[in-house]
Amino acid sequence: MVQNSLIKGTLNPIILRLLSERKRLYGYEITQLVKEISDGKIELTFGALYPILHKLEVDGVVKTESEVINNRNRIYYSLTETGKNTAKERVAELEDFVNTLRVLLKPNFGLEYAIAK
Amino acid sequence: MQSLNNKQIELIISDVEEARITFSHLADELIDHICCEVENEMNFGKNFDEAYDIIKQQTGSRVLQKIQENTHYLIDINYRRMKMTMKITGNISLAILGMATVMKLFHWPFSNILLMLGFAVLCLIFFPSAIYANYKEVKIKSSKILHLSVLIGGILFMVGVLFKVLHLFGAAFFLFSGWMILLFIFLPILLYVKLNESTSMRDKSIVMVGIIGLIIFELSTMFKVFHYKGAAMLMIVGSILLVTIFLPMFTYSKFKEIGKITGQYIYLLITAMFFILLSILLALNVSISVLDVFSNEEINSVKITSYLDQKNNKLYEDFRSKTDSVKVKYEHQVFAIQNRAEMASKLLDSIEIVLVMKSDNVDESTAKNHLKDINTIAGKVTTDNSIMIGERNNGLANLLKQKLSRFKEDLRTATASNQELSNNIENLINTSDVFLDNENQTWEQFMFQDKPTICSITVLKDIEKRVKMVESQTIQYINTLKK
Repeated sequence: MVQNSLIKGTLNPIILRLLSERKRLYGYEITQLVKEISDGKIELTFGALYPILHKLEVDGVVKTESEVINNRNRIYYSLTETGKNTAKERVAELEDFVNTLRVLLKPNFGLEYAIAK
Repeated sequence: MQSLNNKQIELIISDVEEARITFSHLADELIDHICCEVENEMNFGKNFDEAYDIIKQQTGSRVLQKIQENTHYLIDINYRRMKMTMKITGNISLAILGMATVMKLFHWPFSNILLMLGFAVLCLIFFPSAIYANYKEVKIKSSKILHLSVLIGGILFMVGVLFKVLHLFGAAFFLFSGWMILLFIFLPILLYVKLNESTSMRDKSIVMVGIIGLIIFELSTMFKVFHYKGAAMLMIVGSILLVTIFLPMFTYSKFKEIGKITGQYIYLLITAMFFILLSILLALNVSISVLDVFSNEEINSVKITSYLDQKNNKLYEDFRSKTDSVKVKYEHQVFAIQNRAEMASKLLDSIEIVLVMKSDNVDESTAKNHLKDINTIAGKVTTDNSIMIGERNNGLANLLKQKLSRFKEDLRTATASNQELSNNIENLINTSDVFLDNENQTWEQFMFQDKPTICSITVLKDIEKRVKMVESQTIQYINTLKK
């Protein structure tokens, strides 16, 4: 399990990334996908997920459609046109951040980094 | 792949509805999410009840509400600002009011300004932002009137309390209108909304008893403050409803619902305890003990006065039996003193009657009857400055001061040869101004301003006693003089 404080800032791009891979997803599906892909290391709680999804909807990044499945309403999320660009930007940002982290965490990073330059 | 039947879904829906999730399509999502989780557990061979028990532990009402709150917080910038303002100004106003109270207790300067500042922050910033935040969280029908009425009623009420504490004009108006709005608009609507919300008969009756008990209890506090009849009866009924019926019922249902006592419940219980028990204790204790002090003091004064009356009669007789030469020399002084003392007594008596007539709204003979036992005076805590102080100090207190001054002049002439006695008289009948709270107060203000009727009566009786005392001492002194 990864510490909550580490996951916090990365949820947004993770969700956007998943939405750009699939046409549409619903809340529970997102939590399960994250769990599955990360091999159970990252657990996205529904308490963290829904506020983010709603924020994305209000910002116009994602749109929703409602469908009745198994006698209950299911809300599907998909990226809007502008959302697709936003998703790319946010994912690129995260990748950049992860690369930076990787450099920071290497032993003797300062030396190698200087030589490579 | 297991899927839930309609009945099972309905159970989950009703549980989620209890959390009152109103934001956008959040409720649908939470229901769907919980259903999926339960189905997932059932896929591992559990039956519905077992599966839902496990999931329910992570999806209680409080958790769901917290999700809605977080969503609001993330999306609504106004809501975020209001929450922030609420937190900051709540602390600030509490700190200011706490400081002001301490300063007021010690009679330090600027306490009133600080008190007003604290109330201003409380009324104008904290209270509205708290209500706005709540309004955003609970979106229900007729919630506009509900929130508006508690906002206006609450502000009026708080201003009333402030004015009452500072003895400003209009306190009664603000208190009364605030109370009216809270009691007859806010609480009934709250009752209506809560009744609509609760599903079972048990919940309905709990809400009914709780809110009606609260209305009766608040009504009794209002009656008590304004001295209407029947306050005690209302208070007994209200507190019985709240303490012996509502609280146990509420506890029982909460206990059944959650299976354990939550922090929130304990918080509610403590608040209720402070609110109900302390206000009852305060109302009863203060009024009884304070009244006892007044009535004891008054009874003593009356006793001493009547004793001195007899003694003085005896002294006047003694004087009359003196030799003619002594009588001729002091007769006019003795006569003047007797005359002035009698006038002062009469004036004091009539002031008392006027005060009781005004405060109890009765005729003269009833007022005289009430004065025989001051516990029967109804206007125990009312203050009315119009009689004693009046506008620009032209009230009865000033007249009394003038009469006492003239009386004192006569005494001074008669006792000029005895400095000790003269000083003693000056001390007993002292009508000079007083320096208090860093400001000069006239004798009239010091003795009678903002004093309840019962207190003024006690003060007047005390003055009468003092008049008799100095009269007695002076005549006694004259009797010892020789030609």
